[in-house]
Amino acid sequence: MSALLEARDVIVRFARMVAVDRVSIALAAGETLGLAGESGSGKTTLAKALIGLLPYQGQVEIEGMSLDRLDRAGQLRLRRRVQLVAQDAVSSLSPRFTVRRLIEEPLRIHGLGGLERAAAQLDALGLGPALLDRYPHELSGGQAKRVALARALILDPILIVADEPTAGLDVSVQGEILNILSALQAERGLALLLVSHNLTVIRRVTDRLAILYLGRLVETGPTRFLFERPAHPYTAALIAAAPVIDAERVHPRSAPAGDLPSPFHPPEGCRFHPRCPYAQARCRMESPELVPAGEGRMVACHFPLG
Amino acid sequence: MTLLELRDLSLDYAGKRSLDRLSLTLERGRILGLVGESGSGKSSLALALMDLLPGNAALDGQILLNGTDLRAITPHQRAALRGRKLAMVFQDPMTALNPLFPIGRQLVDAQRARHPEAGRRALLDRGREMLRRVGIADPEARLKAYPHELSGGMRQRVLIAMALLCEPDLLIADEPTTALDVTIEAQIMGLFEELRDHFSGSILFISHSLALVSRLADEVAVLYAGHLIETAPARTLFALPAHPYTQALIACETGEGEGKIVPTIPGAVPAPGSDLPGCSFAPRCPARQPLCIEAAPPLRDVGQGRRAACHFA
Repeated sequence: MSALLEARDVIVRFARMVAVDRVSIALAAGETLGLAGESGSGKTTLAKALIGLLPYQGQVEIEGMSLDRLDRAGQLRLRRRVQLVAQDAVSSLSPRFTVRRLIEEPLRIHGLGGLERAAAQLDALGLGPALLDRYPHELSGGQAKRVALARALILDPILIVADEPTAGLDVSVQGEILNILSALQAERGLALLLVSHNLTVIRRVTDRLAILYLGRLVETGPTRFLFERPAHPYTAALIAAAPVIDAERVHPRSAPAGDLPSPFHPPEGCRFHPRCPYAQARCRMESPELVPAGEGRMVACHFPLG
Repeated sequence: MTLLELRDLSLDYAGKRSLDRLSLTLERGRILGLVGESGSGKSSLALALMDLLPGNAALDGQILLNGTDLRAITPHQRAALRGRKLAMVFQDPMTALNPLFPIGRQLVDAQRARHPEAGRRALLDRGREMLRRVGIADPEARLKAYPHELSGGMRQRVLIAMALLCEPDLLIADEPTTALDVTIEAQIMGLFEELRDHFSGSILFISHSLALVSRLADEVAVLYAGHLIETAPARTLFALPAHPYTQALIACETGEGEGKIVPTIPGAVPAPGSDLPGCSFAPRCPARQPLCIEAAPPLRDVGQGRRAACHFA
């Protein structure tokens, strides 16, 4: 399995704040990788850095090409092959363009023909041709997401970064977007980086999962194993905090105490220790490294759960 | 004893029907979970109860609180209920507090209607005690803090404290965790679960999330496109949902499907004012029959304490 995207020791800073701190991550062709964590954990920042939309330190390679060594032509090619579907779909669409123009725009930018494919692309996403002459404000949230997705797909990318693809959508339509992404993946061997705080979605559609806490990776591995046997107390806490239907009230829903600390002043030692129920003296002093923990996992914890 | 009763309550915005002949009761000391997707009318209902609807809203029917029709009393009497009999926790804790005043001052002001004779110091003491009860560490320091100095979760705790200080008969919580992270949501839901045992009033808990409602509510009411389509005791609703919409919604939320395929409800909620002659869910219903397109099903008793608006429930 050769990596489509490989990142080593990526650091992203905003002024004096380190938003992403030495993250190493890989994504294979056709794979779905989930990136989860609370707001402020750095998931969107990391995702943007990985596709060259934010300045970073460290190394990122896509298809073996280092991002910072690309010339202009190489960058243009990269931007065609790698597409971002932004979290706020409505505001990612120009309010002055019709849907037709919005979907044709990427083709024009890349000097590609086939403008007539816009209608077919919409159709493939379950939207009728009637939508082509509408403006973004005339679309529902779900439709806007699909138009944003159509713009990404029309360039035939190898990797899509979907930032909270279900956020703001009703639960009855969330599945449509996820099913479209899964189907495309099966058809085209598309790789998907799915950024989400919604663990139900993550569990359903991702193959592997990376959990971020205050800019650091705390655990990575096959999604199924992480849900069945979380090794990091933070992973366990996130899973326990996820809301599930439980009218008999037999499963306690627990939450880690307190709030996410300020990323301007992250705690010493393990960054999770102030909220960790298992924290020991060592956790306050020494920051744990991300080390292999079997079953294809990596965990950054001095005392991983059994 | 019944605290709140809605009788054939309808709401139109500029001629477009937003709530259609809702009849519902809430008993004293109970928690009613009101579930619905965007556009179902659940927030409009909360605003109607609080008398906070915009000017273009036209209401019809009755809202009985302790047997008094709130639509028949004077605007002055109606306004006097807010902060005494009725209190509300809004969705977005970032905008519900006044940014210009410290928390302590806002907690005092919130109690003025309830305790007009009490002094500032006494109200501040009650505020401090309530902050402690809703799980805020170092309440003394927080009284002096401004809203921007508090996290989202802490602000929502302050707003819940503010509502509880009014000792309302009815506490309305409109999506109180939607703006919060999942970990903070779990904390705030824990607080509501404690209220179940310690708060003597009734709670109307409005949410798009069946999961949240399942753990908290005694009774659940499901709204779809302004229609009440099912009501039932919480356990029964989740064990034996009667209406196809409730069933589909539960499937969507548990996410159980084949392989990577996630369950969905095809189609979209009808636009307000579409005025379908039949069942409002019929266009999306997997069990649709010709009758469903022709005639709107009334909400009727379908056994085990459930009422459902479906011809075939």
